[in-house]
Parts: sequence; structure tokens; C-alpha cells
Amino acid sequence: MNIFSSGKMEKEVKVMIQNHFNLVSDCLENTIKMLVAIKEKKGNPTDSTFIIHKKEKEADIIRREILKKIETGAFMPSMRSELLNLIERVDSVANKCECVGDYYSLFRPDFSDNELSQLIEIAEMSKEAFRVLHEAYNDLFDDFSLVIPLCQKIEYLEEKIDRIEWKLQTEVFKDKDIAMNILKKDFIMSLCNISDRIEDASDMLEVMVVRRKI
Amino acid sequence: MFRIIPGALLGWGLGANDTSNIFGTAVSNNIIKFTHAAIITSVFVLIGSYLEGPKTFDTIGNLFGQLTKNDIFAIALGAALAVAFFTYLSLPISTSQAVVGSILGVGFINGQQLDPYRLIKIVLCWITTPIGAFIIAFILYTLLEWVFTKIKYGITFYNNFIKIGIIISGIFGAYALGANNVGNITGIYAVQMDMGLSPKLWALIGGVSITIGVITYSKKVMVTVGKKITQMVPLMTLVAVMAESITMIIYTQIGVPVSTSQAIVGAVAGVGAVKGFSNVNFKSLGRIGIGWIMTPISAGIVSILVKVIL
Repeated sequence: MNIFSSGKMEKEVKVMIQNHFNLVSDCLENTIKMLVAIKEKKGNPTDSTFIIHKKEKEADIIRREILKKIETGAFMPSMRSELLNLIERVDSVANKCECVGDYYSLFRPDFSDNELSQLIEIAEMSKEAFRVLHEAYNDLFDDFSLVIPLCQKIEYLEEKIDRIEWKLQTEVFKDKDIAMNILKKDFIMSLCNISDRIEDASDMLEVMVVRRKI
Repeated sequence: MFRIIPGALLGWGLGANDTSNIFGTAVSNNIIKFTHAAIITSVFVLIGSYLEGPKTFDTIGNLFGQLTKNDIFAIALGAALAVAFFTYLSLPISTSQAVVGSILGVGFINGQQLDPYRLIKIVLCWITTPIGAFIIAFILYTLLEWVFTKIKYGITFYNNFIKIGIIISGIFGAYALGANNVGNITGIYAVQMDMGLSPKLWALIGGVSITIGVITYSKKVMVTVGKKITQMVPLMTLVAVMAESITMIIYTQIGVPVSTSQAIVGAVAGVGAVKGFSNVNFKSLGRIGIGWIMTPISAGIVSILVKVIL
């Protein structure tokens, strides 16, 4: 056995974290599908919401299993808390997708086609940011030097989302229907919060690398 | 036989205190269990004591001419009390300096002829210990930094490197501690007391007293010391322990027991200096200077008092 490779328990945890990442990614994918369904008026948007709920629940189960596994001794103690913190942050992305889906199902804010296009753009960019996060996580185990540039890419995408959000909020409030504006504003904020959470997770990755930088 | 008791106490104190410099951070950060650290330390202290311990006996034992049994008792008790007192004040105490101070105290009160060559050699070694450890740590860390910029590595490699490195440096540190410091414990007995025991056997007795200190009391000190320096990255700790151990081995070959505590302070400063001199804790280095003067003086005074009482 190569002494510089992972132990059995660590390998298991790494597989579980990959699965967790995939489930959260599915939540993001279904958030996009939901917005596309609203815009194209094809199918029922709440179908995607149900899938998000299902995937989020599965992600939660895996998160708890990872927690148990890590607490029984996988990885060095100093790394355990960092890894748990990272998983919590990744999991919060799925939670937020669930919130976005629920919000739409409950309040049905009435967005224009142009606004929906921008919302889809935000959701797609969030998905891209999450893909980069996943790549950065893999590089954490393979090559430290690649992690920070990927985290910077996430930061760049998040800034781009912030700019679209600002523009969208300004447009939304041109309408005279205040009640609907507030519903729309909250939905936009909730959707944009997904990329904030992805950025939080990437911050944790950066911390893990910087702490070990030689 | 009771005259060996202060020596054994000195060994116990050394085992309880100085092993914290070897595995303190690793144990307090749960990188290695205390039981494992204590076993590794005990085994390699004994090996180091037995194989190389007698190399420092001559320097310590022949600083003055012939000493009586009461003189030896006063020297060992004076050193043991001084070590206990300085440990209480949380100063980086050196057993070597306490023992030499005690010998000087008793020797002077006896009016005996001092071997100035040996004393100069000892004092020079004290001064150069933290400096040597500083330089070795600086070079080691710079080299390691260079190697790590040349290779592709992730967190698994890094963690395993730290884990294995800490165990290897710990083994080396324990060996160096036994080899270099056992002279402080039984060196004077081996040279001055004719009990029919070989120097290697005296070294082994000293090693046993150190391991008793490791097993019975070092956990508390390890955790305290470890938590105090947790701001250090594990790799820095590993390099510092390695540099300290190399320093100790070098001085063992010269035949002078030196301070592990002062070597580790110098090594930590050396590792910090790689990232810039603003990272060097000059206050800690200053405390070494105080130790150089205060430890031998106080040990000398205590040994004189014991000698007068006897």
C-alpha cells in the first residue's frame, strides 16, 4: 500500500462526498428546469420542485452519514472540522434551491419573459459556479496549486450574478404593483443567494489550502 | 543508594518536561495518541541513552577533581530543585545548565581546581545551541519549501507526510534526548561514584528515570505546551523538532549535554524566520538569555545550601 494514499475509511468518505456534490448539482439542475418550464409554459414547474425536495432529502441523509464516518476517525483531526464545515456549506446550496422552488410554488411571482431569461441566466451561472466548486474540491486531493485559481473563478461568477441581480431588481421596481414587486424581489434575492452559498463553500476550500501552504 | 534519588528526580523531571518538545503539538492536536507517543519516546530515549549517553559523561563528571558522595548528592539535589523552580515559573529550563551550576557551586565551596577548558566548552555550547538549531531549522524548512514547490500534491499526501514526518522526527527527537541529556542525570554518578557499574549501565539507569517521567507526568505538559504553540502549522512543528534533534545529536558527538528547550525555541525561531524575521519571537529568545544566567546561579546557590546543611 502506498503510505501517501488515503485509507479505506477516507476513500469511503470521499465517495460519499462526491455523491453529495452530485445530488446538490441535481438540485441546481432542477432549479434551472423549473425556471425554463415557467418561461416556456411547458409542463408543470412544481414537478422540478418535487425533484429538488427528493434530492435535497437524499443529500441530507448522505451528509449525516459523512458526519458519522468522519467522527469515527476518518482523516486527521485538524481536517475533520474543516471538511464538515465544507459539507455543511455545500449542503446549504441544496437547501436554498429547495427554498427557491417552494417560494415559487407558494407565491407564484409573475415575471416577464425578459426577467425570466435573466433568472435562468443567474441559475445557469450558479450551476457553473457549483461545477467549478466541485472541480476545486477534487483538486484539493490531487493538486493544491489549482484550487485557489478555481475559487477566484467562483468569485468572478458570483460578482457577475450580483450585477445581473442589481439590474433585475431595478427593472422589477419600475412596476407600480408594489405587492408583486416585493414577491419578485424576494424570489430574486433567494435565487441569487445560491451563488453566495457556493462562494462560502469555496472560501472554506481556500482556507484549507492556505492553512497548508508551505 | 539514597544519594541516587535526586538524580532519579532530575531524570523524572526531564522526562516529564522535555518530551513535550517532541510530541507536544502532535498529541494536543490528536495527530498521535499520548499512549503511542509515550511508548515511542520511552523506547527511543532508552536506546539513545544506552548507545550514545556515555559520550557526555566525561564533560559533566570531570568539571572538577574528585568529589565526595555528599558533594554528588548536593549537586543532584540542587539541580533538581532549580529545575522544579524554573519549571514552575514557565521558563525554558535547561537541566544541563542546572547541573553545571550545581557542580560549580559545590566545587567552589570546596575550593577545588576548576577545569577551565571544559567550562568554556560547555558555555560555548549553551550559547550556540539555539543559534545552531535556528540555522538548521532555517535551512531544513527552506529546502522543504523548495521541494514542495517542485511537486504536485494534494491534501492526502500532505496529511500523510505530516503524520509520518511527526513520528520519524519524534523518534529521532526521543533518541537525541536520551543520547544527549542522560549525561545530566547519571553522568556525575558514573564518573565520580565507584559502584562497579559500567557507563552504559549508568546511562540506562538515567534513561529509565527519564522514561518514568514520560509515562507518569508528561501528558499534562504535552497538552499545555502543545496548545501554546498550536498557531504553528504542523509542518513547521515537524521541522522544528527535526532541527532540535539534529542539534542535540551534534552536541552529543562533541560530548556536551545541552538544553532541548532552548534548542526547540531556536528551531521554532528559525522556521519562523523563513517567512520573515517579523515572525520570530524575540521575547522567547530573550528568555533563553535569562535562563543561561539564572539557572546555573540558582542551582549553584541551592547546591551550596544543601552542601552546607550536610
